[in-house]
Amino acid sequence: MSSGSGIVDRLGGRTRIYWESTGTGDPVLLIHGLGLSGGAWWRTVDALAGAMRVITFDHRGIGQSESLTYAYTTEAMADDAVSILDDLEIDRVHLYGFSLGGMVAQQIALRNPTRVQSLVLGATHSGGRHAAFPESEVVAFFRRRATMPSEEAAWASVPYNYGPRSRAEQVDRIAEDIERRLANPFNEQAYRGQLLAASLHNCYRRLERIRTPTLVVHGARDRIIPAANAHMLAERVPGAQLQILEDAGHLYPTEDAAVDGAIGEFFAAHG
Amino acid sequence: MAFMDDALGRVVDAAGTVGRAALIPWGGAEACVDAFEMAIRALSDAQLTIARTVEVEPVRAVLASYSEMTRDIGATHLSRLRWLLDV
Repeated sequence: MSSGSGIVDRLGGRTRIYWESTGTGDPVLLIHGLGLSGGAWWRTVDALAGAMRVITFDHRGIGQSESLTYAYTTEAMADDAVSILDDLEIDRVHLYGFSLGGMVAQQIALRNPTRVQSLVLGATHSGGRHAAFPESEVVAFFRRRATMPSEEAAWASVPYNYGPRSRAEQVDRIAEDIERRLANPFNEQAYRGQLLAASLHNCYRRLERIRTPTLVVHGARDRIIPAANAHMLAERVPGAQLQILEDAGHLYPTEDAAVDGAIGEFFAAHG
Repeated sequence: MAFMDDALGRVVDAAGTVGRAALIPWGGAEACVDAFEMAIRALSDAQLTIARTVEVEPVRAVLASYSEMTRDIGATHLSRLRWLLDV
């Protein structure tokens, strides 16, 4: 399986975006969530790379990407992602954004509609005051999390990230996730910047402009971004399909091993 | 993933309402913010076009970085405007 990696310099070297590419075929760009590096997609890369060219990257300030600017917005992060496509000379791409990455994916689909072949929005929301908000306990935890040591924060996040069934039956898979997450350096400043970007994200009123085939995927037991947001997205994006995973929480790719295959089929149907 | 207190939320809502009302004479908040986004993109593209005509380094690289900074700073303003005005 062919693979490669590289760095895109932006802003005269003030922002450097690290990317990896695995497999051959129609390209798909995976955009990860808050505080995570592109390596967090390892299960999905394995599932999709047999039939597609899978591109992952680290958001500015996270993992092997660097940023000397404080411009953390989903718009700027979308431009970072598009700069990778420019660097790789890819005209059109399937997009799969998860959580914060789903917000960035919405911005790419709105700002660069001709570049997007199809769109998967996983465990995300439209932003603005219309979004369904998490319980105050969840909000308080994520504010506190930035100050916790990495390993403690990773384990303390488990009740928020995973559904009750996974916490009881999939302890090994959760431990694998955490081991992978801890292998990447965690930048507190970038985390806070991403938190601000997520808080100020607002695509609600513009979602009806999206003309790209879209699949919305969400865990019914998601405590971080309640599943009501998925219904809202599917109603606002014209023609969007909705897949609710009944037993899953926020990190459904870990909890539902079949979901990556279903997403691969969606991409194949819109190739 | 909203991290705004109720009191701050009410202030922001009020400011957004005032802002939207103030932009009605210019076609409304949505049209104004869309125009701002297009202007940022046009300016950034023009800067990049100019940079590409210069063959001397590091002048070309500096000019190209101005283009990306325009877009990045513009994105920051745009994000806050869209959030405040809810458009």
